[in-house]
Amino acid sequence: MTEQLKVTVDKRDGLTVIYTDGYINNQGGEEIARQAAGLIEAGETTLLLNLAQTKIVNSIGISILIEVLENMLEREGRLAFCQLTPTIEKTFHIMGLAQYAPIYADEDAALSGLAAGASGSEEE
Amino acid sequence: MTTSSDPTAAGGDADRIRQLERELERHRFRSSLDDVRLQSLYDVGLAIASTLDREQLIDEILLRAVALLDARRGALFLYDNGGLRLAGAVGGDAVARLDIEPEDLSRLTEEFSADQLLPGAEYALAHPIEADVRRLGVLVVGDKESRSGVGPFGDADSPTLGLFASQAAIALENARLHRDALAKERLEHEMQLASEIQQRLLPRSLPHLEGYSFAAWNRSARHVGGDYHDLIPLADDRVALVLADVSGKGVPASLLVSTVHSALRLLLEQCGVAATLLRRLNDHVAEASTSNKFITFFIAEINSTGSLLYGNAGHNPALLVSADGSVRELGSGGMPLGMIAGSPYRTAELPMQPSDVLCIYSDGLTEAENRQGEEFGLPLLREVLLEARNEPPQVIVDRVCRAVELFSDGLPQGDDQTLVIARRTS
Repeated sequence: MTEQLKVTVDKRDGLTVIYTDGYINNQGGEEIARQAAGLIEAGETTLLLNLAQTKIVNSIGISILIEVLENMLEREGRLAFCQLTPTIEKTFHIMGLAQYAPIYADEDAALSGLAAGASGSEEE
Repeated sequence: MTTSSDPTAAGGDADRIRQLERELERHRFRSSLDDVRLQSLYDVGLAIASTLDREQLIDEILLRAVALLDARRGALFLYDNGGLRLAGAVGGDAVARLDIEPEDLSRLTEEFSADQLLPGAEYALAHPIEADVRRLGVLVVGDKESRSGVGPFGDADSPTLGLFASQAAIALENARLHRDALAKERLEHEMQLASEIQQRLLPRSLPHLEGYSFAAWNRSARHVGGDYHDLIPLADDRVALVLADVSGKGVPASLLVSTVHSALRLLLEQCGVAATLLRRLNDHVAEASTSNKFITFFIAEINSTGSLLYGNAGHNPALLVSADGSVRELGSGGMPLGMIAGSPYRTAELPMQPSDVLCIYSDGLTEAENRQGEEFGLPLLREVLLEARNEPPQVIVDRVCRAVELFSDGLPQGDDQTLVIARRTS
């Protein structure tokens, strides 16, 4: 049967982190969007997406992530990514996501970068 | 200048602008996706150059194919031992094997439903993986996604999948060649090592025994051989001459030779050349070797008084050539070593007169073939020995080797060849 994306949410040093496990496709993207919408409604202004357990993102998933990003930007919030595979990071750069959402090597780097208000890609 | 103060017109302009912006955004999105597709194909090519691990390559190709085609899942099947078997899957399960011939792979989705290929899938697209004219397997993707759900793959998707299948073919062939090269290199290294070990087991010098002269010669058919010989000085003016032929070739045969060498030295000290030695050596080899390995073995002990004591475990008969031209065959007194534990053996004793020549040889010499497929044979060996019986042992060795070489007329050596000669000079 088809494997569904698993999405979990946790807090780390005051930062809300969304963890994805699996393929970010239509179904997976919708689940991320649903979780993110709930967090935004609850007042979260900064979200970090940790994609350590995700090896594929297709164009449907990307378009949904762009919508999540637009949603955050409209509310003057911030969205960031960390632990992307080289392939996914390259895709995000080509698709323009990296222009508006910083990409970090890991959560520690994301915590420092977001605290400092940095933007753009950062490597540890 | 005319200006319009109609608010409806202004609102309509704003709507039109927003519509154009959205179309532009969609166009940019599609254009960027095309860039991603091209980049992915390029990256797969780079991945092929940078990794030769088959599993990693299969993973890379599947992930990229599924993502780029917006498929919900995918699988890669490869021919292995005659059957088409699942080599990798992403996004869900796939069937473990498919019964379809390589020439029918282009019709895979006609022969099997999407659900049969990828359980639970509604739509599937497949492309054979071909290297030169060989079909290695097939790449399958299932359920093309859109925002509204899943649907069939479009006309443009088949060529894209075909490009990934081509990359998969190159990658898999490279990985296979690399694997074969590594295995060959490993084997050559092992053979070299075994050859070095075996060389150290061979006698470095000839023994000295008053009234006798000796010569020995050995040539392996391959890097590492199964023939073993030794000339071992014993206490009380005795010398043991040994020749063993292990079944099989290469590293396993060489390792068994090493086992025999160690055991023999120990047993000679304990019991000398006797039926007991053969029995105990037989049991030792039976325990040490695999079921299909055995050793033909000949041992002779000569001493300064002219006595020749010998034991023959399944080996070709040694020849005792006398000055008067008579030739005596020293035949087998038991089974080859290692065949059956507990086998009985017997030894025999006879006098070795001055000028007598003892010739112990391996069947690599007598079974050497000529271009007509005929074997050198025992009669021809006897003839050469008779002609050379009055010569020193080294000359006898040279004459036998030369005769075999001439007989073989340049044909490659099929088996290890060993010759041990002892001549009573006084």
